[in-house]
Amino acid sequence: MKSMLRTETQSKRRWRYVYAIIPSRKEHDFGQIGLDGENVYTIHYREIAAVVSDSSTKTFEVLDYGITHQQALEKIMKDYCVIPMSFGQSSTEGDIKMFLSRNYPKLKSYFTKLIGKTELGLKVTWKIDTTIKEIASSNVKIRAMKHQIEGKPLEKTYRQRLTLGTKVAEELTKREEKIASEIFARLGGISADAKMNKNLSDEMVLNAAFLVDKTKEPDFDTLVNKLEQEYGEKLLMKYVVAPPYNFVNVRIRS
Amino acid sequence: MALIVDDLIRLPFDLGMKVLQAIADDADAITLNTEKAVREQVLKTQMQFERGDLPEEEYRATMTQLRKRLDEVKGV
Repeated sequence: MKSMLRTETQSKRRWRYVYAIIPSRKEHDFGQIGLDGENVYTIHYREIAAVVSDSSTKTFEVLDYGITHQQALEKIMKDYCVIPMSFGQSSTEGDIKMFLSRNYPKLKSYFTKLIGKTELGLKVTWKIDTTIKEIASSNVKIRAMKHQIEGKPLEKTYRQRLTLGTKVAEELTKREEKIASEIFARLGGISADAKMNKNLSDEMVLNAAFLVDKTKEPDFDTLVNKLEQEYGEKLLMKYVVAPPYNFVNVRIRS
Repeated sequence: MALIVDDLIRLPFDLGMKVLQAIADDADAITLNTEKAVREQVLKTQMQFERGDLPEEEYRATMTQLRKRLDEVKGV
């Protein structure tokens, strides 16, 4: 009777929600950090493992569980190099093992690329007021246009003001491209890999991810500080450690 | 005087940004009027958060708004 109950319970909890894949032969219990406070543990194939928690359901509402997924992933990252999974990857234990075995060479090659490295996400934004002031004083055409408008009523200079605004925006874009390329090239020079992503706002100059050898993280930090000193009046720079989504893209399908 | 000159320069830029924002708001209002559109925005927000493009505080605020919007379009 007990055996039947256990089988029934196991059958109801047949799904494994996957947070990441890690390089490890050793079983690891990460504790109750999973969705719904579930225990997070490893399922192995040779020296790679999927980090999972049990579940009776295959799908989860991202609005309720999105943050828990990310927090669990961050905790796993403290102990291991990870191939991170996007939210919502569930499968059965058998299918996960099959996925690991079928994709073993590919996953191994990803770890070769990722082990000993960190993804650093860099966001650079304009200090917009300072930059516009600087453009207004340094660009001859813009300065001349500004003088033509000065002192005249808004309603009579509406078109000129729009033209002036467009010129300022054009100059800003030109500078943005130049500065973004330079920062990307300099930081890319000390990184194992680098990826430029789409800017997330009009005030953003550069949105990039760098895969940096852990031994070179201090060099990366020093260079960011140096760039901040060079561009400090015009730009704000911020970088964060992130799961390496920009350099590997793996999904488990069942 | 400097302030007036700066304001002159800023004004068209601010105007442009406001127009762009208004268009973006309109577009949001149009596109987020179905459950599918809201769901797509939820996934996009989750992806930005996972990739470190969105700070946790902003992520939580956006998801709260999207949940509200989802309830509205579902008529909850």
